[in-house]
Amino acid sequence: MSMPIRSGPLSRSRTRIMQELSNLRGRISRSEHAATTGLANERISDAPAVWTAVHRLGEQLDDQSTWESNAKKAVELLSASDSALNEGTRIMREARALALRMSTGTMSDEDRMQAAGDVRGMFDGLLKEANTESAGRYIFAGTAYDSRPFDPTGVYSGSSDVPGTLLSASDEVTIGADGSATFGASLQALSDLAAALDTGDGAAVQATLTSIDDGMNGLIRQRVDLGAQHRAALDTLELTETMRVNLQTAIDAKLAADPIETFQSLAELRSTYEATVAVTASSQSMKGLMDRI
Amino acid sequence: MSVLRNIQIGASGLTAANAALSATSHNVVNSTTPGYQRRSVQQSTSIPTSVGVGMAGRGVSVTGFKRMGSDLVMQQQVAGEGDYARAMATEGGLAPLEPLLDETQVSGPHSALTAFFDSLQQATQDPSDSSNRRVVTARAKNLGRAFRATSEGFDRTLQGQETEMEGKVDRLNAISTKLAAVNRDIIAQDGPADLLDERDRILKEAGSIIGATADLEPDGTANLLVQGHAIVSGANARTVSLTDDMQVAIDAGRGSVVVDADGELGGLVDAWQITTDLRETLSQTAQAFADAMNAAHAGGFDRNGAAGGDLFTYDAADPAGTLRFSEAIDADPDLLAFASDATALAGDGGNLPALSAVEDAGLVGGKSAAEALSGLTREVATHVATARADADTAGMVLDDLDQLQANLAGVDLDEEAANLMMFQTAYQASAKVVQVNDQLLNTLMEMV
Repeated sequence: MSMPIRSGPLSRSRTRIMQELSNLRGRISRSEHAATTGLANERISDAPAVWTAVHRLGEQLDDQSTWESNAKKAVELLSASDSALNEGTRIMREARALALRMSTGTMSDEDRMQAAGDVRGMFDGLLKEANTESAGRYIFAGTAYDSRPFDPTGVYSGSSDVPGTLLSASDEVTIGADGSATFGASLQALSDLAAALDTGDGAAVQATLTSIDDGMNGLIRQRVDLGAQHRAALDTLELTETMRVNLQTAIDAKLAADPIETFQSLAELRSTYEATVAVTASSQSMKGLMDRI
Repeated sequence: MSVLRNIQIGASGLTAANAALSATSHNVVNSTTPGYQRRSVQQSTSIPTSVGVGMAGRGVSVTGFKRMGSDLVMQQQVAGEGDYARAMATEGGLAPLEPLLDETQVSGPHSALTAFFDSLQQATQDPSDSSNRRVVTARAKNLGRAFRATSEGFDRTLQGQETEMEGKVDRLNAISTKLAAVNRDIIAQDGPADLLDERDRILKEAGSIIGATADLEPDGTANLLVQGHAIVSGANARTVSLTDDMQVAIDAGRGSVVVDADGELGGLVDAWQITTDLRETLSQTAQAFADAMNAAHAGGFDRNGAAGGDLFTYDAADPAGTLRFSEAIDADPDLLAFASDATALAGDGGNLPALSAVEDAGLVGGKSAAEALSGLTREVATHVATARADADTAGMVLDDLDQLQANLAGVDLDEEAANLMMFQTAYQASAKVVQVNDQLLNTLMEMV
């Protein structure tokens, strides 16, 4: 038995037609949202699979700001410590040259006693570097950086613990130093040199050369160590900038709408909607029936 | 006498054409009535009578009005409405959670948690710095607020779902009572077509609400069943209610039977259960996070050299809804226990790694707090997307069933227009038969 085909929209559920139009309006709304915001998805359910990745990337992007801030702080402090250590090394080099000169027989006792005054000036100069302050903190005080680490006689009251800051979840950079380990030997060497010069004994002066060398080498080693930390902080600054761009690009790739595709889709959907409305209105009209009757 | 019989034959044609015109008119005016099924007149040749030389026809008889459409398709429509409505209700029930968890648009617990841990890592620059400490307290406070706001959003969504379920149950009970009354009228009036339309409309609505099965009886009455349990049986309706844990129960006389509802109620129950589970995950995350942070904080020392107090507080009955950052620490950030030693030197951030380590610790089912919170977004997104896809599929099936029923029972105005003209012509022809035979009778009478 053949079945009559009732193709007019009236033979279909009116509710269903309205629902189809509503669906179309919803899709148009989402396309308009994409066109105006640049985001491909209006609702999280439009792309459930992307959210784990987007959250993960977002966390990493936020982390970059932290690492960048920490690295900037580290660069600031390590630059100051580098300057201090450089100046300290220069002072020690000068002291060594003076000690060499004063250890020869051509110098008189008076020359040596006068030189002792110069060495005390160097001691004060080195002490000033050892008490270097940057951004409100004493760099060579270890973790006790809120107090001046050396008193005028060179006695250390800082901490032997070294502060650090994170440059990534697992990498820490030191942003200070144990002043005693850094400057202690040098200050003691200068103090010994001054005492030897006071005695006017050339041999005693010569004997201080080894401790001056040890002190100077200690400063150089510390400068190298902190220099490596400085380099790591600078590398982190460069890396965070690159990472931030890459991570933002990755997030955009997951969330951003393609403008060409968006506008094309919007135009198509609007045309479809208008056509559906026109066809529905026309076919639901009883005009044909009335004309015939 | 044959002329008189011919007039009767013409009259029967007039009656038949009139009945057909009546059916067509009824079809036309009800063409937009929801659930209306096309009517057609059933007619047959009247029983012939013997006229001596053979059997002569006696015209046409109208035997009844037939309601078009298939009961089998209608029963499938009732079931299809249930599948479609369930998926739509799940999607609609979970929809309020979408903007709540879309952290590209709002600042939720996930981004607040990330910001909080970032502030701890940034504090390693200078653990004693008051501005660093202030940033940590501000972000910790914001994190508590984000948990509470999200928790409130979940609560509002649950309340909305419960209110909607209660409304659906009320409506279901109302239409069940109506169906029982319709069943009574069908029996009393011998199944008039208009009552059957009303019966089918109620069955579809009930199918949409609870995903019931329609059991049609030969007398035209319908029983409404959910998993074999009758909601409506003949002229009797049973009350449907919601249990305390939002399950659908049918009154069974001595107690009630919990059923796995389909339809809108089933979809709302699904959405309610999903929302409840996710809210529980949110609470577990808040509690595990607070406990872990408090434990790590207790292992450190504040600027005064005292052991760290609780960073976060919560009510165990509702951890996410009551999570708060310590007011004492908020008032005095020096109470943040960043140091690992009681001497609490300015640069002693020895406890910061322990505090930061909570970020990656497996707190909820082996997942970190951030992963658990991200999982909420993914879960909602997946459930809504799945429900939407199910609705699309169920909608297509329902469309096909609607189309099938429409092909059988829908009103096609073109066809009705043709029928109008046809039955008008038939009426005119029958009238002509009466007129011609009347003239013949007059001629005979004049001959007398």
